[in-house]
Amino acid sequence: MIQQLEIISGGERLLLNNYRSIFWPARKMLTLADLHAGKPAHFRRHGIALPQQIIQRDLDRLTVLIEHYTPTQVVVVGDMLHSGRNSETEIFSKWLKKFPSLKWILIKGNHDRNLLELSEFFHFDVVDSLEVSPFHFVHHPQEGDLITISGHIHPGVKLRGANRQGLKLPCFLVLPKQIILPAFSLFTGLDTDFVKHHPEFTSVYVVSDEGIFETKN
Amino acid sequence: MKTKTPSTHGYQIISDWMNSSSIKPFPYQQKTWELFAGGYSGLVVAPTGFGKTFSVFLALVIDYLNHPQKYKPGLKMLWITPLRSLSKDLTRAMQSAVEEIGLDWTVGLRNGDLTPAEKQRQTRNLPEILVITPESLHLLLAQKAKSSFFRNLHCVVADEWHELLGSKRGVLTELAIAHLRSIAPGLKVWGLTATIGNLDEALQVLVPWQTPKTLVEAGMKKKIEITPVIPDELDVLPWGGHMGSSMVSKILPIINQSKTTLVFTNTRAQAETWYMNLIDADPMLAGLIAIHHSSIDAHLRTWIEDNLASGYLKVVVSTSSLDLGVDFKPVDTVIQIGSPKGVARFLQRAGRSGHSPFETSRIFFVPTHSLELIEAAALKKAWKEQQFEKRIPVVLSFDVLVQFLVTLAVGEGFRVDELKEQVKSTFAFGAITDDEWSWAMMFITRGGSSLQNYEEYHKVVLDDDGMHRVKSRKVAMLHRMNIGAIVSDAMMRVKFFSGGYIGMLEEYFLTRLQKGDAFILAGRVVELVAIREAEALVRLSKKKNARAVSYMGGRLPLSSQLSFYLRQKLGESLLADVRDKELKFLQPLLKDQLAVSHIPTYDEFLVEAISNKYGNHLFFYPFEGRQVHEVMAALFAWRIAQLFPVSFSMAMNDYGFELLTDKPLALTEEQLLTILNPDNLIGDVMSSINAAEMARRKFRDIAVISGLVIQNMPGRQQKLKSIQASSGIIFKALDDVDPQNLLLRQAYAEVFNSQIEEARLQEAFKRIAASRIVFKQSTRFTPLSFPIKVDSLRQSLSSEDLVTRIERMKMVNSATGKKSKTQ
Repeated sequence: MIQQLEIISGGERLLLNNYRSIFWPARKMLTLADLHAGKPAHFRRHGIALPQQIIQRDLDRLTVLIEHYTPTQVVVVGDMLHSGRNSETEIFSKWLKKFPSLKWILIKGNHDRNLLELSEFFHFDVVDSLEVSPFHFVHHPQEGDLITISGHIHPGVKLRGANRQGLKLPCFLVLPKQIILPAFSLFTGLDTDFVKHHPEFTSVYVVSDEGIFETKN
Repeated sequence: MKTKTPSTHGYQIISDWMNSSSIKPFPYQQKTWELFAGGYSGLVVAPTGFGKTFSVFLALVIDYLNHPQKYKPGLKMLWITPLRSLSKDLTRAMQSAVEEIGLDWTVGLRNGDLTPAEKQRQTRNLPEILVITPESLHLLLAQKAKSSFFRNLHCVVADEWHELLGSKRGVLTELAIAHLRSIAPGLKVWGLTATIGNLDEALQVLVPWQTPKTLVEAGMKKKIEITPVIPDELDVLPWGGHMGSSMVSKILPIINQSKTTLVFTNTRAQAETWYMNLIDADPMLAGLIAIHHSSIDAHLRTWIEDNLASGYLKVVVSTSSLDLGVDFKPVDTVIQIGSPKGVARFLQRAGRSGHSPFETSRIFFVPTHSLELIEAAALKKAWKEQQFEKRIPVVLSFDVLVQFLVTLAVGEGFRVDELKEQVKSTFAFGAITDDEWSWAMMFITRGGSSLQNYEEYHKVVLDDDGMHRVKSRKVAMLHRMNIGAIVSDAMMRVKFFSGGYIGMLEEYFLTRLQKGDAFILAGRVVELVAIREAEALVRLSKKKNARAVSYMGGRLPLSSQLSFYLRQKLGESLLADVRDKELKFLQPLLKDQLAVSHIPTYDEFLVEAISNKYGNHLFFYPFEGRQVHEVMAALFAWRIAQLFPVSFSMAMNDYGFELLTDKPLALTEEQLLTILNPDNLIGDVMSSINAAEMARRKFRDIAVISGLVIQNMPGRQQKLKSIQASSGIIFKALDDVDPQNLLLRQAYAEVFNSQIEEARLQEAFKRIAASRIVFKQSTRFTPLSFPIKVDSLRQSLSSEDLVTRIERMKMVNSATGKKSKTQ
């Protein structure tokens, strides 16, 4: 079940949700980061046996999001593909046909190679960055005049539970001038040191299956 | 046997050679020679230093001298040893024996230390006898010309079989032997082992097939002198750790009266502390004392070992890093700090002193809190009754199996039906089902379950000639670099800013430090300057608040054997005729325990409910070791929460555990009995613990061994890093989408076998159910409960705060104690 939490950023209403994306109702825009499509297939090519259902999990979650918010455009702030085209990006492109009227904009990430080919193949707009005031969509976190919305970090936090059992969860990091998204794909790692080394990120929104919760850094 | 070996030509030569060096063969050695000549396989059981090597090695030489026509050129004997450090000495000893006997054989050595060129030279012309680690043997099996290496092999020897048996390296050995038998039928297999609790099983695991086989027991007992070091004063309320400095003054005289002393501790942090304490107490030791553990730089460790052997060093403080390995002849005294956790480990350590057959090993036991003195009495009894721990063989570890399948596919390739029979002939995979086998084949050929077929997955391919092979050179290279079953934590080298290495530490420890944080390594206080690439740069520091290196694997659980004797000794401790001096010394403590609560005899189970200003505590004393207690604590907390809503915090040591709540807690005896009930044990355990989380941690090793996570990558190929995922992510993905994955199932099985210790847990509950339950109420901590309470405080407090707080608790305790007496 999608659980969401509303924040106001630059005077705009944004919905952060536990499906690791942001919906901007005013523009009907869904934003996500670090999909890393094709990562398991890339691993398999190197002899690491991983099942196909791994990408299916991500696509199923994306379907739920699109059916829930009915956005007109999706912005992926980088690392849509893990390592170029492979059998799983084919699955991805087949899946895309389910939503023919949806407009996709891809911000180039460090994993997105062969961009020309990608834009032709997926019919995506591929750009270095995108400005839609008051926001500036980029891959790497940065500061600027506009509020930047970025990915790349895969931020996470370590929570201490009872009985000394720690729990690592992905999170959104929010500053007045910056928002960093968690990685969308479930098949990605977490960087829990980033939050620790950047105490300026005081608002941390932790996501889990159960919901989305604000904690203090 | 037609001809008795002693009358043969070969025996005569060996006998003459031994006479010339004035050695007399032990009867068990002669017996081994006879059995070997008679076609037997077997397992030789003898203490260290009693010439186990010469039992099987000379058996081969004698047989060769008697029947040279049976032996074709090339490799005749493979000598598998788990320890690199031993192999050099072993090779040298056998080589010089061969030369003195007058054979033109070479004895070679193959392990990870050899350069590729040396390895190539060796494979071109294999020696008659090859000393090898299980990993290097598997690397040989991954070579294209493998069969020609082993065609004329007569015998495989598994040295230190007790070390291999309980581990996945043992499974590697079993699989290799099964495969070698297919190349060299009629192969004899011999194992050498120290005494363990399951020798018959150990033989069966090593030689599972139908063939004449037997145990050969030396029947000789090493002389061991066990001396407890008794503190000057007895703390009636004992707690761990604080006895360090006061005990130093007790062990200095022992060190001074000995030639060379080995001091064994249980953790690296403890080793560092004792090293510093000893130097502080006797500055004269500087230069003659060294510290040795797995984090110390390898060069330094070699230097320490050499100087220990030469007699230059007077004291070496170490962890298990010196448990095994070459003998250090000058060592005449061993000191064990704190509980050794097991009978076999204690005796193994004792045997590091006075190592030759006719000398006496001397070991001093230094308790870290007074209760541990009971262990000294327990250890002596266990030694007297020769009760040793079992080494439980690992079965159905599919991670090792899939690695082995790919290893063979990297080499000459294999035929499925033949290999399946080989694998099924091992003890480890004797119970493998057809479905499980098919799954393993599917895993290496198609990448997953039968429903899938991935075009990009070509790890192992079926060739036209019916052989399964690895075709990709990159896959083959990565596989070869990652053969083995030892998974280590990611380590970083620690280096002085001004140059020079100090050692290696876990990455997770170093990356958590801030710049300027001080820690202790190799007896020096250093502070972090920077982390660069894979190196931590440090400088010497004068900071007082240096952290000890944290080490997650440092907490070995108490063995069932030791636990048994411990309960027995405790139960007898107040009998009028108690003779153990440890127990006599503990009388005031024991009497206090009896006055406030009770001393459980071996057929009783004690539970204490203690309510005071620190909260409402329940203390249970199963004496089953920390690990089992962790499970029991979670289980009991869960069961009590079913009776009334309450939540607990938990703490435990090897003797018992604590459940603590700030809410009032009135547990009746009847309720207590339902909590201790063995019915529906595993169901309730599953409800009370997070098995998925435990399995996730176990999965780490499995992922590495099975090749799902790549541990070693070639240096320059940065690109390959993008095929690295953490085992945690893979575990979660498989747990979600492929719950039938056998590697995942194995992680859960390992949780049950080695973490929850299901068998031991069941046993413990059976024992408790058959015991008389003694339920005592008190308002003050008892001598048994106090160390557990202190342990639970330790987790959240700095050490200075801890000391003040404990002293305060003691005062409160004695005040309430007095009050209750006057009432």
